[in-house]
Amino acid sequence: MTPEVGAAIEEIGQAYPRATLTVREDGQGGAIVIVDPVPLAGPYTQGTTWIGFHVTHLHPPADIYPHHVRGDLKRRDSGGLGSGTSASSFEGRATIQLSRRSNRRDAYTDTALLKMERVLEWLRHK
Amino acid sequence: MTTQNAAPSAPAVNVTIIVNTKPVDILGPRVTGLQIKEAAIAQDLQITLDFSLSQIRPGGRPKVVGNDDVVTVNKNSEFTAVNDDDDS
Repeated sequence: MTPEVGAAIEEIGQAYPRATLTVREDGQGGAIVIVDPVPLAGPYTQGTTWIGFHVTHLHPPADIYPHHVRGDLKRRDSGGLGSGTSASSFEGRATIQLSRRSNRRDAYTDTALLKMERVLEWLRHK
Repeated sequence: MTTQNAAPSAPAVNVTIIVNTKPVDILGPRVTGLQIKEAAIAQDLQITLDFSLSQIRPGGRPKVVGNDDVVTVNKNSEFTAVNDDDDS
């Protein structure tokens, strides 16, 4: 993988020292990453989830999109998961896909870790 | 008649924090996310109030700071403000 992709993954690992990082190189300089577990809570019955995404060889200029979380995600109020979510699959797992695009991404200030945190925070406040 | 004494609050103090790698002066130590963005904009950082603000904690998880969230800042406080994401 490229040094930039490797650095992005290392930063995530430092931020989540108790989580397991599963990293599979995509053969093009990028990597598929799964962080398990991460805190969830918010309106959901589950307190944690895993989160997965593809950091392409074009990182950091390219956005990291979409993100995937556990497929059995359920709200405590039994409501739907709402906009920006859809049932999908990722690395052989059933998932809820979180479609949050960084349309005005600034590669100098944004990072893979920051994007992951924003997506999780968005999910917690849905 | 009883008298209740409010807990003493920390005195206001000027603090230089970092936002998007640039120094920003702000009256702390307790400030909201909105106040941080307002101070940064007033000091010519190219952000807007709808940017997503995160507190950077070296070696730890960034903390997303909402407009109404209150954080305690000091000279080592660092934040990143980026355009927020959109549903697609």
